[in-house]
Amino acid sequence: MRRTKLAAFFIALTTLSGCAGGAAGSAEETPTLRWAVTLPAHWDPVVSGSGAQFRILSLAYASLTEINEKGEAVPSLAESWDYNDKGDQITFHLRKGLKFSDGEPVNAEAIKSYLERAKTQKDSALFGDLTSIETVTAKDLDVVVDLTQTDYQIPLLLGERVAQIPSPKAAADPAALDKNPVGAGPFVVTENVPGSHVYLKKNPDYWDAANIKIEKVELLSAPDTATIVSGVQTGVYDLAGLAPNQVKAAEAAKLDVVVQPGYNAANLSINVNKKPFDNPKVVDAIRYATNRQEFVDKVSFGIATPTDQPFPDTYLAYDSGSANRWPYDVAKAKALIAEAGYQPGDIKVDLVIPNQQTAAEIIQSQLAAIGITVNIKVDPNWATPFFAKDLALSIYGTTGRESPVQTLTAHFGPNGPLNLSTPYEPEGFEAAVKVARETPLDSADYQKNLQAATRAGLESRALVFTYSLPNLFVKSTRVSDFAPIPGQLHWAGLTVAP
Amino acid sequence: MIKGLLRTVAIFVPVFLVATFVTFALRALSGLTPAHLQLGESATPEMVAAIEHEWGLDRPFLVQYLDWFGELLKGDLGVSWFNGADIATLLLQGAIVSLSVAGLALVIGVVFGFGFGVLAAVRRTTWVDRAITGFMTFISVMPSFVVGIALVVVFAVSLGWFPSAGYVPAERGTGVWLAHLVLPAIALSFDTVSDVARQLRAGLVAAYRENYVTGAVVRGIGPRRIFFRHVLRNGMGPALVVLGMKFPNLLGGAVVTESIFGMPGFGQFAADSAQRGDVPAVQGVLVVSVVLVVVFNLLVNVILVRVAPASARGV
Repeated sequence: MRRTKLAAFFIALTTLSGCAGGAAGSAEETPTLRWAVTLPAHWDPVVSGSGAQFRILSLAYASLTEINEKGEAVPSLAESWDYNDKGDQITFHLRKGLKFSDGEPVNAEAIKSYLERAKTQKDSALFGDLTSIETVTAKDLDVVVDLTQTDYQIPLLLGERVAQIPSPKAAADPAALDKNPVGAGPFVVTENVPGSHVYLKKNPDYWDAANIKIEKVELLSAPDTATIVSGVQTGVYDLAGLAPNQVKAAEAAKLDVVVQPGYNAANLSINVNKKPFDNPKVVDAIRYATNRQEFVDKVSFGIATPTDQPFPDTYLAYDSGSANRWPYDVAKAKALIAEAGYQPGDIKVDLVIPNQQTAAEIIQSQLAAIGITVNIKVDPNWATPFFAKDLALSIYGTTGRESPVQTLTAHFGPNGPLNLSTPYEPEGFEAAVKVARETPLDSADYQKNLQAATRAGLESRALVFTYSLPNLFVKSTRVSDFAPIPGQLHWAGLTVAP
Repeated sequence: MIKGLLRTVAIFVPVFLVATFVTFALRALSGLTPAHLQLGESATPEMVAAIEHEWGLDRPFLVQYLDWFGELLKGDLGVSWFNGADIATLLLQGAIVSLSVAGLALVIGVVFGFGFGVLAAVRRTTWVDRAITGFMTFISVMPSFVVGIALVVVFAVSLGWFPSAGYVPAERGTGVWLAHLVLPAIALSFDTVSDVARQLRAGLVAAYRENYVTGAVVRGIGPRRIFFRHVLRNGMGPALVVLGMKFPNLLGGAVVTESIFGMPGFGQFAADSAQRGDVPAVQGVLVVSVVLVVVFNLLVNVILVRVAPASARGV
């Protein structure tokens, strides 16, 4: 009796495996992109904020502008824009005849209500990005934005990250919008099960619908990094984010490893208002004690590049004149500590981080080499003291901003969220940023002025930058190549072969 | 039977109260707030305070606890700090996935555990017994994530028999549904198979040595009847108890298995929520876990009383 049941079970198993093989190998009727991701918690762009989720939200939302391969602002919902002579007013001209997926028209009123909501909504994660905007006036398809200062960065600022535009009708109930996006993007959500999956289908009303070759997108909750590669290899997923330690496995499986350029940079954040970092010599010692190559080798398995600035060295705001200003030199660092009046072992600091990271241990060992004792403290509630600027030492990584000026003010400005030493600001930074902000993007002086602002910012003792890791993805060879657009993923032209 | 039920309830209520109270106290102690999940880099102290007020976290601790407990009794577990979704709904969706995997793992555990255990006991002290015992020891020390990755490499990547990851609801076809469950369930079942087999072997071997078995042999009763009527019924108690204790392990082990196989289940939800500091979700997980474990233990007790009435007397 038992034996026959066992046999039946085995037979069931074998038949099962047969049909599963068939299912996995069956030809796809409609071009579908299966993307393994950490599903976004928020679908309201105002709440979702400035993390990296905007890349996923860009499936459902079109933005005011986009970025091209050179990092310049190019048209999206806005067909064109122009500044007044003084540079303190910009008018965006929207495309004609567009509508949101709920049928509402895409007009200036929709942009105005979005920007006002982003500035005022209680849980807005974007209000800090919009301080340049004074008032928004809607004139049919023309959005007139009056600024608090001359600022030529606005077309970059109001791009994918900050201005993904939802339907104003849906946004009237922000809580509902936060669970279910209603935008004018290339795709429309058809099914959304939080924590499990999100299905989308092509939006025929998208302004660039002719160039959207994928009919369906399935966002699937990503598995552990250890099985991402086998998931793509067996066709369960077509696209997934990739951890640096999986790159070799992905290449060995003959999958495409996409190294998407980004603005990312990791840093060691220092609070110069706290002892012992109120002594500039101690900070200088840390600058000299930092061996960036070790981060590149051990954190990123050699994929990242060392950087001493808040962006990679290929970026236009990177100031090559400031490169390697504090070269790795342990002897000099030790001398500076002694000059500051400390014996080896005198300095003990807590390095507070949100979760266990290799980078923290590297910092610990590099500072130990110059006689600074670092205690790593993992605090899940890290964000409260970090953003309240209560910590003495921490680490952070930025995904960067499309606007280089915004990246600089976020790190070095007196209110910058990534400046652990606020209101400290390096001397000359404010003036240099003002010049950069007031330089039109097509001016011959733009890059020069930006680099001058970077140079001024790097005087800040609050940040030691370490390495820059590009955005890594693994995709099946059935998916066509991504345009190398820094920080963003664009869906136009992308194909998935059956 | 009814007395047993009442006793279980009497144990369940204080355990439940203490467990929920402690989780609540942990939140208060940890100082975790939903603010940073929502605000990211815009988290100024004023904004944090505003968000905490919105969630009612500035009220006295006991008021918050009683409020939450009242809602719980109505079946409302509140909403996630992370994405504002209804936790009861999220847990139900996750539980369907996890119970599918854990259920199949349990079936595999019972079938193979009992199969190997019985075989070893019947052929005790022969090479079959030694081989089974050795194999059971081997698989009991294999962590499920190692087994999971190995299974994926062999059966999904090399042979292409099963999908390497994901979950498909049963509505889309029982075959596809089961196919997605097989590898994670096998990975998860190893521990159960080995523990059940070893307990059963020990129980059965001990029962074979009992006088009543010798008596039955002397009376000329057939080996089959001896096995089913005397040995199995009296010897399977420990294995059943182990099985009862395995269920919480299966759900707990699912954290790793679901992560390896990218299944949006209960374990994955619990782990993600805990890592994010999504306190209401973790509390929801705890409530459901306590209920599931108690219900399952109750079930095992009922079965145990049925097969071995002596166990009801606490002998």
